[in-house]
Amino acid sequence: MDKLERNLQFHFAALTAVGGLLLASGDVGWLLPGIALLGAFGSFLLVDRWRLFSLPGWLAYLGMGLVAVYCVMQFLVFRTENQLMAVAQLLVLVQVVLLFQRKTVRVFEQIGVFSLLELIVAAIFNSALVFGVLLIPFSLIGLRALVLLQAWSTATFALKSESSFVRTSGVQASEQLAIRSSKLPRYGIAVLTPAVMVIAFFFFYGLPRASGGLEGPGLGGNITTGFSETMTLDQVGSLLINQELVMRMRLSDRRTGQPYRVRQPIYLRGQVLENYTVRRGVGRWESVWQSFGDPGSMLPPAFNPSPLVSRILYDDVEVDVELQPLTSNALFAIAPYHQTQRNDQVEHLIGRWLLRRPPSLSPVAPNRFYYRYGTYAFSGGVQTPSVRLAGPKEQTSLWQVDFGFLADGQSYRTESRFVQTMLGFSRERLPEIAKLADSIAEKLGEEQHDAYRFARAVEQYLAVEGGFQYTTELTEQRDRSVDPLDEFVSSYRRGHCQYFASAMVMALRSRGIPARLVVGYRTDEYNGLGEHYIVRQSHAHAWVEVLLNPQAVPSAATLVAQPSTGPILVRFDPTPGSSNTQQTQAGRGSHLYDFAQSLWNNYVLDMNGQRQTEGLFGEGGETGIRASYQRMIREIQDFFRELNANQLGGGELSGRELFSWRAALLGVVAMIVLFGVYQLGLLRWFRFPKWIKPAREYQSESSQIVFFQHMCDLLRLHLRIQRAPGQTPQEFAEGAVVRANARNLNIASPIEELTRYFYRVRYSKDCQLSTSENDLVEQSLVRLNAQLNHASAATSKRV
Amino acid sequence: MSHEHGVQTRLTRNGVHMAFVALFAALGGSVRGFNLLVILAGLIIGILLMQWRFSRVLLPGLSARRMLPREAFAKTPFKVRFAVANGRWWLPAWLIRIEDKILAIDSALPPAQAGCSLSMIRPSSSEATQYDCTFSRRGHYQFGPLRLTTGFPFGLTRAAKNAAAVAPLTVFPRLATLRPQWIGVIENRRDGLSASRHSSGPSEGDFYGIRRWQTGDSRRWIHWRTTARIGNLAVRQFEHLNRTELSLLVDPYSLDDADSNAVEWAISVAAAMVQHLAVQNHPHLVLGIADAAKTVVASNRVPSFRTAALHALAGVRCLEQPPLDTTLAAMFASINPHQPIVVVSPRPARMDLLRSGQGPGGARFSPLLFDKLDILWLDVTSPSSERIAYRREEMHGQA
Repeated sequence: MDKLERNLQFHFAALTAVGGLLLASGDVGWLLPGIALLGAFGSFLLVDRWRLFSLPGWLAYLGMGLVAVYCVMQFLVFRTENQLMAVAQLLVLVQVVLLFQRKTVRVFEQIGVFSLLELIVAAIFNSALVFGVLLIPFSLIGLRALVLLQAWSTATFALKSESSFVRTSGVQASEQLAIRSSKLPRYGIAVLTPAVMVIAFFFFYGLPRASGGLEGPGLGGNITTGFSETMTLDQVGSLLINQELVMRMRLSDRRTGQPYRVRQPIYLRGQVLENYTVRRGVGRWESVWQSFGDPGSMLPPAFNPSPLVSRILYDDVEVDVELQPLTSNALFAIAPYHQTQRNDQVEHLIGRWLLRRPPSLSPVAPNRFYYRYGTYAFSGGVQTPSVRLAGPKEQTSLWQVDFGFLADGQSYRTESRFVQTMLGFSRERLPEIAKLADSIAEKLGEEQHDAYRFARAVEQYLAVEGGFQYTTELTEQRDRSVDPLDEFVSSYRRGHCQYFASAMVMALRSRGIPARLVVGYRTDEYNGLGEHYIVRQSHAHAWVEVLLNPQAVPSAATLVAQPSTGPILVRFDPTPGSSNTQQTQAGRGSHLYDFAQSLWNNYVLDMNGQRQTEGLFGEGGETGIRASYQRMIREIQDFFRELNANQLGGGELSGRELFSWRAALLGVVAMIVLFGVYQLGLLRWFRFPKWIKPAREYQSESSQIVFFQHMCDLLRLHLRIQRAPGQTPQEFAEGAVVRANARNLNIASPIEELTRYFYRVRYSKDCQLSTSENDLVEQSLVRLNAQLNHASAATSKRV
Repeated sequence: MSHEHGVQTRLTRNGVHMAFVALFAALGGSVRGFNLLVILAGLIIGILLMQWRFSRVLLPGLSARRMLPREAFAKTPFKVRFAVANGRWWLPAWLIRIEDKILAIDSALPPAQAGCSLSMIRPSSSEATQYDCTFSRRGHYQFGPLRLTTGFPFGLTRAAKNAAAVAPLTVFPRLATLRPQWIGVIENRRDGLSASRHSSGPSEGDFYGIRRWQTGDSRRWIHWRTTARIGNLAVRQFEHLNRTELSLLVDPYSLDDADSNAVEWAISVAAAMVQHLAVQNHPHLVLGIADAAKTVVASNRVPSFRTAALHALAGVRCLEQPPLDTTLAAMFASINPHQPIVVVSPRPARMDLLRSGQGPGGARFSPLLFDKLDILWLDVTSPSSERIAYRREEMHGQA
């Protein structure tokens, strides 16, 4: 009994500790979880194991009361997002007080309930994959603890009871139960876990939900991903490389349905910055928000290229984006994009090729955001650098006014408002930039008037020829009277992408070429397991966008699958090393974790009514379930194809060819079938066995001597040996021994002993057995029972 | 014994807590969009559902049988055994509680709860368990009904099923420990002992040895030849030397509860005498109990005098004025008037209470007839009764 009790105490202490770890995985800090851990193991050692002390009941209640008062006051004082912290505090502190009490069934139950409530609080606080991982040991320990508590409660049931006229004691039975209880948890968990998982699965995916996701601020952790829509230029010291995840982006070829792989990094536009100012020696880029045409419109429709344009010149790619909670409304896209799925929560900004969430929504995006669009920007895995300024059906009459197109619709007017935003330059403030531009132009000679060639020359100079160096260590001593860009090109000649892009923009503007900054992300980190691209904070990038008339763009940059008229925005990236196709790749473990996190996000955290509907009913009239099955079958086929080709997970899960998966799988299935046939037996199918044997009445003629009757019951139940009417006990015993021997059962000794004692009691003078004789009778019964049960178990296994 | 197959299931305290938490999580998760809460709610609901079904499924296949001892004595522990069989061929049964109820039929006391437990019963097998039971008082009791309950695996619900009907049990009085020569003490305390002793055959038994003379031995047993040889009195030993025939009259006198121990002691002594005498072959014994029913048990009228007498003693109710006289008169139909009549009483001798009875034929006892009766009044509370039975203090010491 002590062992069972110790086991139980340990399990509840462990449950408390894991509950504390679950809280720690969220945003509650480490103090509360530390208290929980310390309380759990401290109480187990001091109170349960060594029994040094324990809190008396009155003191424990007093302590809990004080904790409750303190936490309620905190709850009333705190703001909404911290009120849950007060609740977590209450749970942990009260639980610690309970742990230091002497454990009874009631105390264990209370500890369990508080642990469950901690799990609820942790679920609200934390949505990371770590929570899901910790949920597994918490569940296992919790279920084991419940089973052990049930066993202990049953063992201590009616241990001793006393009333005014009778005293009973079930100590012996309790001891036996306690000894046998160690294996009980595995029965309970192994038997019920699959069913529980199935029920939870159907409950989760079948529960009706709201259609959209949350728009209000959640109670979860703080937003850790930031995107600034302005840019400052200054020597700010060493920039930290932040590997925080920004988004996951899945590219798929719409023609084949397969994942689409690129051969060069992808540029994702987040914001365009046109206006450069300097204040107190610090440069600052800002966006000039102007309303051109509609203030925010639907995504442009897909462009229908001429049938003469071969479809091999461009790829039809669909982009699915899972954007992490962000501190701004910006969305990131590959231009040119078009609509593939109606989404009222995504707006397109004309003339800027930017996506964003409508301003009517919260200024921050506290939840993960999913959106989708199509793009023809890729050809053969390479993203086009050129984008027609106006998308399909955007060249309205207003363009001539707002964007300053000439009547032919092809060229822009330099004096238009839109173009002027991209020409802001001060020669007085940036003399070195101007000098640099002039020197480059001079080297080009006649070609200096070719805007595209000039831009390419500036890009080349900054990236390669100019001796500039890329660095994130911005620790130079600055002269605040000098523009930071001028200092960059003349003094330091080292900086990061923002400096290079800014310098190029200014250099182009000094020659009258409209240019602006684009900030966003550039990535080629691919997760083969999840078949998606990963965008991290460290992938943030700035590049240049130049507005050119179509005739200025050489044939190499001919636009395919885009409108045929209008000015063109051409991308230039003057940052050294940006032509490298290999960025820092995370390890296999990181990709595995990212894949798991992606599944966790998609199938658990972000399940909502819309996804449920899509999953069940499909979209656009297509039966969702049928499509799901087809997709599942296709994925299984792909899985085995990749498995055979050692390309599982894009090669990330490839193993050495030491054995054949197919053969192994076949072997396992064959073993299971053989085992099942052996166990079940063919004949059993024709027997129509009853699932439940009716509980039979014990109606045989019974002896008044209890232990002898018990022996008769056991023989009848296990061996179907029944005492005939008129048969003496001795005759019965002899017959039973003979039949038992025929079945190779060695139960003669206990039968003979019990029969002898029967005669002793039945026909002796005093009709009573001594204490020692009673013990011998007990032992004989136990032996007989054990041997018969063993024989029955062996028989059922053989059958 | 009847079996009822209805199973009742209810949520336990722990189950109610978890149900509330699940409800909170489900509502909060679906309304506020916290999917993790919905998952937790699903898991908890799944656990509750499986717990409910599992605990219900375990019990219908079980049957239980209670086995009470043939005899039970007050203040003597005995075992109440159970055999629980699992009729299912594929599913074991775990953590079975057996809840039994004990009701005192003779009094209005509330029933007592008793029980034991089993950890596991394999399919198509049975397991035995028991609990120890000790009654503090003699009387008639009833065991049952029996309930099987289980909360396996997680204790969130508890299923219960009635398994066996009631079973009566008569608890006999506690047996006093009589001194080895108590019969001789009784026989030697009266005059004319030899006249009341009954020789049932040509000899007093088979002679099988010589021993030293002891107080209480008859002079007829003296073996003079051996005595002369060894110089000390020696007597013959016989098998079935003594076939004592006694009549016992129990006086259940009790003024109030303060005297109940004394009358219980008297009953215990009487029961011990019955027990001792009944093991002899063909003794003619008569027991009278001066209770309201004027119970008389005669060995020639019942198949088992011992059992009938103990049963009668188990149900004795104390009276302020026990009808000793009329009970004695009722005994006359069965007793041998020459055999001694021992009145076992918790009070000093009150022969006058016996005289007012009516003799055979309805006539009152004449003083002459009464004087012919061999009546011995045994006051169990007097110090002299220690020659008959060990007092409880000595018994505890010897134990």
